[in-house]
Amino acid sequence: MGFQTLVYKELRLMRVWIILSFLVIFSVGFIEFLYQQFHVTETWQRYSMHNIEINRWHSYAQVSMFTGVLIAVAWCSIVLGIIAGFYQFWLPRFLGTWHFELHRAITLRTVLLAKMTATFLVLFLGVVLPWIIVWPIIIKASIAPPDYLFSSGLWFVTNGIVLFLTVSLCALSNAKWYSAINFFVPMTFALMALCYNFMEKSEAPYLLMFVLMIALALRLHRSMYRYNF
Amino acid sequence: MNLKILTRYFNQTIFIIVLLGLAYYGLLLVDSVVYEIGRDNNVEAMVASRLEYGNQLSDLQKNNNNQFLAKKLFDNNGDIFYWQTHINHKQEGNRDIVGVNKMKVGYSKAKYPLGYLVWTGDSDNNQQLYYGSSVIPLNEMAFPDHDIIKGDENIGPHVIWRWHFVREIFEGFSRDNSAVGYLGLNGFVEDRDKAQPMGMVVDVVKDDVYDDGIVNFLWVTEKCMARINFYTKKFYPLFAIDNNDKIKAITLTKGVYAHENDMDKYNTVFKSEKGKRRMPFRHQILVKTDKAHYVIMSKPDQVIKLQLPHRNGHWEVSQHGDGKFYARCRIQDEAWFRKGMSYNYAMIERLMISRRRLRTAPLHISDEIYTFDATGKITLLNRYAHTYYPKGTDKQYYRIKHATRPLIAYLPGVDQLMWYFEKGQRGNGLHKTLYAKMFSRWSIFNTCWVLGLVIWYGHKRKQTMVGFIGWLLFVACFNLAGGITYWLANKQPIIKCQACGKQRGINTNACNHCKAPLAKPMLRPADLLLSA
Repeated sequence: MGFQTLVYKELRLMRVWIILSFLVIFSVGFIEFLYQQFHVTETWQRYSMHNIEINRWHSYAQVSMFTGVLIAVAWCSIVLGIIAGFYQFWLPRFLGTWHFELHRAITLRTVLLAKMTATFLVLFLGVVLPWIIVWPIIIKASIAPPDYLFSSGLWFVTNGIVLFLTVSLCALSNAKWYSAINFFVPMTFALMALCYNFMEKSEAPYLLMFVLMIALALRLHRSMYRYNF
Repeated sequence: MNLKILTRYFNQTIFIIVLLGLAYYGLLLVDSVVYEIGRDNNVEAMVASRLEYGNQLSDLQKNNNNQFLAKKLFDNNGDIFYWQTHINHKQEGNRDIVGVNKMKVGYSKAKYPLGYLVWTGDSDNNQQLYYGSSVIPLNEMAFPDHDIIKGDENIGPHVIWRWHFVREIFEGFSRDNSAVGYLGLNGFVEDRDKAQPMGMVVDVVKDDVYDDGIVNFLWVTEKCMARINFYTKKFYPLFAIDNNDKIKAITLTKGVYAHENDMDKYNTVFKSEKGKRRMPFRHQILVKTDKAHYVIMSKPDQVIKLQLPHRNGHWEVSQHGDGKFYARCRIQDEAWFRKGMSYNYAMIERLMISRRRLRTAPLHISDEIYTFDATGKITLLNRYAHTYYPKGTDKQYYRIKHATRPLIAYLPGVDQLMWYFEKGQRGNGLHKTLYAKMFSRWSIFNTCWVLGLVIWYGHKRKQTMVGFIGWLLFVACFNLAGGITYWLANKQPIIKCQACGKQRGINTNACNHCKAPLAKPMLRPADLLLSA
C-alpha cells in the first residue's frame, strides 16, 4: 500500500514535466513529418550523385531527418532524469520533509524501489510513449527509412536512468552537497560522452552504461541506509 | 561472502578507479602547463631544426638530416640517396641526388629509378573511417544509384542504397519508399533474409573505375573488399578474408600514371575503363589486416600475401616498370611525427603535450628496402640505420629536455592507454620499447620517493598490514597518480594513542601497536551551508 502511494505521489509531482516532455517529442516529430511532406524533392537532391565529389566518406554520410526527434528524445530523457532526481531526493532534503516520506510502515528499500519505479514510469510516459507513437508516422514519411534508429531512440532512455541515479546519489551524500555534485555529475557526464563516442563501434558502451547503472544503484542503496535522515 | 560485502568491494573499486582517473587527468594538466611555460623559448629552435640546415650542426648531423629528409629514396640495388638543393640549380628547380657517402649521383630530372615510383603505404590515419563520433548516431551511409535530370534540374537519384548498421547489409529504396533489393556478401538479392552480413565498415572510397559511365564505390568491411555499382547492380568482390582475421585498413594510392602500352607489366595496377581523365587512371591497393599485409592484384583472384619479416614501422609497396615488386619500410618512433589523429581524440591529444615534446629528442630511424615475388616471398636488399638530431643542441634544448623528462615519468601507462584507444589496439613492439626506455630511470626514481611519502603518511593510518601492502603495490604500479589516489581515498585526521603515545588514524577503534582503545575524535565544526 505504501509502495503504491509513494509511486502515485511521485507521479503526481512529475505530471507537468511528463506532459511537457511528451508534447516536445511529439511536436518535434510532427514538424519533421510536415517538413518531409513538403520537401520531398530537396531531400532526394541531397542524396544525388552530384554531391559525391570528394574522395572522403563525409560526403556519403547524409544527415538524417530523424536528427531532430532523436535529439529531442535524448534531451527530454536527460532533463526528465535530472528533474526526477531533484524532485524525489533533493526537495525533501532542502525542505526538510524526509520524515513525512518515511513515516509509513515500510522499509527504506521499499521507499527506494518506489522512487525508482516512479522514475521508470516517468521516463516511459514522457519519452518512450511519444517515441513509440511518433515513430510509425515518421518512418512512413521518410525516404529510405532507417529502421535501426528505433532502438537508438529507446537506448537514450538509459541516460535518464543514469542521471536520475547520479542526482539522487548526490542528494543522499553525507559530504557537503557541492562536493558531491562536483564529483559525481561530471564523472557521469564524462562516462556518458565516452559511451556516445564509441557507440556504433562496439558493444562496450552498452556494457559500460549497464555497469554504470548497476554501480550507481548499489551505491544509492547503500547511501540510503547510511544517510542521516 | 555475502552480498553486502561484495557490494562494498565493488563500490570501493569503482571509487578507486575514478579517483585514479582524476589524478591522471590533473597530472596531465599540470604537466602541460609546465611544458607550456618552458616551451616559448624553444619553439623557434625546434621549428628551425625541421626546416633548414643550421650552422651549428656538425657534418655528421647534416648528413643524418639529409638522410632523414631523403624519404627513402632507393635504387634497384637498395642503395639510399637523398635530394639536395644546389645553389646553382635553385632557379631551375633542379635538385642533386646525393648518396649517403656524400657522392653526387645526378640530378632530379634524370628520372631516378625508384624515386619516381608511386608507393602505396599502410596508412591508418589518412582514410580511416570513423562514425558514431557524434552524440546522435546520425551518420547514415546512403548511396545514390544514378541521378534523374528533369530539364536543367537534378532531382536526385532513382534509388537510395542505405547501409544498415545492425544487419550490415545494403537496403535499396525507390522514390516511393518501397524496397527494391538488398546487397550482402553474396551480392544483390531480392530477399532480405538471403543477404549475408558484410561485417563492420572499415572504409569507403569513390572508385575511379566506371561501369557504363557510372562511378563505382569501393566498399571495405572487416570481412571483405568489394567494388559496387548500384546502378548496374554489379558486385565485384576484390578481396575476402577468413573468419580468423579482420581487415584493419586499406590504402588506395591513386596517381600511378603508367603508359597504356606498359599496362601488361603492371599487374598490381587497376585500370580505369571509362575515366573522364586524359590519362588512364590507375591505383594500387594495399590491405592491412590483423595478421598480415596483402597486395591486391588487378585480377581479383590474384592476391599477394606478403611474408613480412616484421610488422613494425611503416610499410609501402610499389611496382617498377620492369614488373619487379618492391617494398620499403621505415622504422621510427611514430609518436615523434604524430600529426593526423582521429577526430574523437583531438581534445585528449591537446592535453598530451608530451608528444610534441618528443620532437626535441633524437630520432632513430631504420630504412629497409625489399623485393618480393608473386608468392609474397620477400628479400632484403639493404638496410640503413641512422639518427636524426634536431637542431636544438643549445642549452635551452637541454634545459627543457631535462626539465620535462621527470614530468613525463610521472605518467607511465597513460600514453600507452591513449595509444591503445586511439590506434585501435595497434601499438606495436617499437612503441613499447620506446616508452619503456623513456620511463625506466625516472619512473623508478619517482616511484621510490612517492612510495616513501605514502609509507610516511600511511603507516599511522593503516588498519591492517595486508591492506597497506596492497596499497603500496598499487602505488608502485601507478606512480604519482597512484600516490594521489591513495591520499584521496585514505586521508583522515590522526589522534594520539593515550596508552603508547603513537599517532593513529581515527578510523580504527584500537591502537595497532598497544591494542589499547582509542579515544573518540572531536566533532567537526557544523556545516553552515547544510544547517542554514
